Amino acid sequence: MSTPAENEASIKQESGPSGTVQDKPKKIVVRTGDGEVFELKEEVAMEMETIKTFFMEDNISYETVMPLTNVDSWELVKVIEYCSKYVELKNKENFHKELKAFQDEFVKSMSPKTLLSLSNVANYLEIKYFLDFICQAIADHIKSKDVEYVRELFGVENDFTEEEYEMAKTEAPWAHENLDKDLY
Amino acid sequence: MGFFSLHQQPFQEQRKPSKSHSQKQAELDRISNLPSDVIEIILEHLPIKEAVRTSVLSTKWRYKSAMLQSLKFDEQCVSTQNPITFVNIVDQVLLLHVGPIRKFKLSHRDLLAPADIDRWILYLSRSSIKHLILEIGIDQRYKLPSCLFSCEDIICLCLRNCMLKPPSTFSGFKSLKRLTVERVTLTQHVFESFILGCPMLKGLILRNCNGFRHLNIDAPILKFLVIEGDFEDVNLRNTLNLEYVYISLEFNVRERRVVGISSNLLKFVVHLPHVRCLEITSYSLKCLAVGATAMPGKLPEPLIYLKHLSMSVSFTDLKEITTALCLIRSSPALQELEIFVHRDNQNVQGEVNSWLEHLEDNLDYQFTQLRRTEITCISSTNKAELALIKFLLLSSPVLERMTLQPATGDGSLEMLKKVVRFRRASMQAEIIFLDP
Repeated sequence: MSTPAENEASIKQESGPSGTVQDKPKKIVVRTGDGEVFELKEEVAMEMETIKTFFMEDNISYETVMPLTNVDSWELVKVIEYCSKYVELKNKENFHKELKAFQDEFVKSMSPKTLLSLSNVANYLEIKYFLDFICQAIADHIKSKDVEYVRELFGVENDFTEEEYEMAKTEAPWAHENLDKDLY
Repeated sequence: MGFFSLHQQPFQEQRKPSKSHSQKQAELDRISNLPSDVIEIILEHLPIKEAVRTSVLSTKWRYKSAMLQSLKFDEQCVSTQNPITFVNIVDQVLLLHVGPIRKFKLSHRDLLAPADIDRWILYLSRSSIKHLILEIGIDQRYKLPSCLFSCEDIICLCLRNCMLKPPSTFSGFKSLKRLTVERVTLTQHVFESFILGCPMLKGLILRNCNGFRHLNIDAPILKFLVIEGDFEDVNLRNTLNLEYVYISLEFNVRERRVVGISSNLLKFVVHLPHVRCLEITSYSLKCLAVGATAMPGKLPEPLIYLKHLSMSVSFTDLKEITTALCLIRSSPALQELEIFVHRDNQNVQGEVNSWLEHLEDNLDYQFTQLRRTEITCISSTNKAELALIKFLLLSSPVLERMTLQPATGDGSLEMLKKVVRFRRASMQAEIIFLDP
C-alpha cells in the first residue's frame, strides 16, 4: 500500500512533458544536532536511506520535523550540496564526467578531519554513493604515505612497543616499501 | 606527540599513558574510532599493499586489514625491494587473513600456474565467497577447479580466459544474480544447464566465448543481457523480464539459414515485451533481418517500454533498412535513437531507391516521445540515409536534439545544405553537426 505522498512522488517521476496538476515540490524538514532546522527538497532527502525509512516505513507525514541528532549543521550543508548535485546530474548524458569535475572541486580543500566527520555522517544517513566517495578521498590521503605521516594526519597515537611494531612490520615487509617521506 | 615519548621508554614499560592524555588523544584521533563498516570501506579503496600497511598504525589497527572482507590482487601487488613474487603475496595475505572473505578479485596479465589459482579458490570456497572475479591473462584458458562449484553463496561471478566444465553433480548456483563470461570455453550443454540452474539470474554478459554456436537462453527473471560473439542463431525463450539488451553478432554469410516464414526479428522481439533499452550493433541487424522479405511496417505487438534504441544499419541493404524502420515504428515510447551507419562498400541495391520513393507516402507516423537522435558515419551520397533524417525531422514533434556526423569530409557540406532545408516538426530541435 502506498501513501498519497508516495503516489505523488511516483506520478511526478513517470510523467512526461505534460506534467501533473500539482507541480509544487514537496519539502522535508529536519533538525540537526546543534539545533538548526533545514528544509530539504523531497528528491534530495530521499537519497538518504535513514530519512527515507523514517518517513516511508510508518507513513509519517512530512509535517513532522525529523531529528538528526548525530549531524551538525555544517555537515548537513555539505551533504545537501553533494546529494543535490548528484540528483541533478543523475540522468544527464555526461554524468560521469561532470560528477568527477564536481567531486574534485568538492574535496579540494577539505582537511582529513572534515572528511572523517563527513564519512561518519554519510554512514549515519546511509547514503551509499556519498560514503563511498568520501572513503575514497580519505584513502587517497593514506596512499603511498608512510606510517608516521598517516598517524600525524589523523591524530593516531602509536601505542606499540618497539618489539610489537617490528613484529607487525616483518609480517609483510613488501607492504612497507616505496613510500613518500614528505612529513609534516 | 605520542610517538616521540615512546622512543625513550624501554620496551617493557607500561604502554598506557595517563588518563587525561588518552582522553586528548581520543579526541584528536578521529579515524580509529570510526564505525568498523566505514573503516572497512576506506581500506577497500586502498590497494592491498596500502591496506596491509595500516596494521602498523597502532594497536587498534593491528588486525583491521587482516579482517577485510574484500580482497583485490592485481598488477599493483609487486615488490621492488623484497624478493617476493605475486603468488607469494597472495599466499601471505590469505594465510594472515582472519574471518570470511566476501569479495575476491584476481586480475593479472602474466601467466599464472593453475595450481596456484586452484589453491586460492579452494581457500575461498571454504569462506562463503559471494563475489568472485577472475581475470586471467590472455594466454591462458584456466580450467576452473571443481571446488568452485561448491561455493553455494556466490552472487556474482566474472570469468575471463577460463574453461568452464563443472562436475556432473553440479546443479547450478542458486543465489547467482550476475554472470559475466568473457573468452570462456564451454559447451552448449554446459551453458544451458548452468543458466537453468541459476534461477535468480538477473544479469548475463557473454563475450567472445567459444565452444558452441547456437545460443539458447531460458532465464525467467533476467533483466540485463549482453551478447557479443559469433553465434549462428540466438534464441530467447522465457525471457519476458528483459529490460536491457545489447547484441553484437558476427555475420557468416554461408551459414545463414531461414527457418519458418517469420523473420528473425519477429522471433527475437516477441520475447522482449518489457525491454527498455535495446542496442543492436555490429552485424546483428543483418542477422535479425533474415527472413524479412515481407517485413511489416510495424510489429504485431509494439514495444511499449522501449525508450532507448541503438542500431548499426547498412543502408545499402533493403532488408536491413525495412527491419530498422519496423523496429522504430513499433516503439511508441522511444525517447532516444542512435544509428550507426555501417560502411560495407556495397553498392546501393536498386530496390532501395524504389523504396525511397514510397517513403514519401508513408510519412504519417509520429514519434511522440522522441527527444534525441544521433546518426553517425553518414555517407553524403546515400539517399536512403538522408531520407531517414528527413523522415525523423518531420515526424518528431518534441525533438530536442539531432546530432549528425558524416563519415568523411567529402560532400559533407552538400549534405549539410540539404539537411538544413528539411522541415522540422519540432520548434526546439537543434541540429548539431560533428566533424567526421
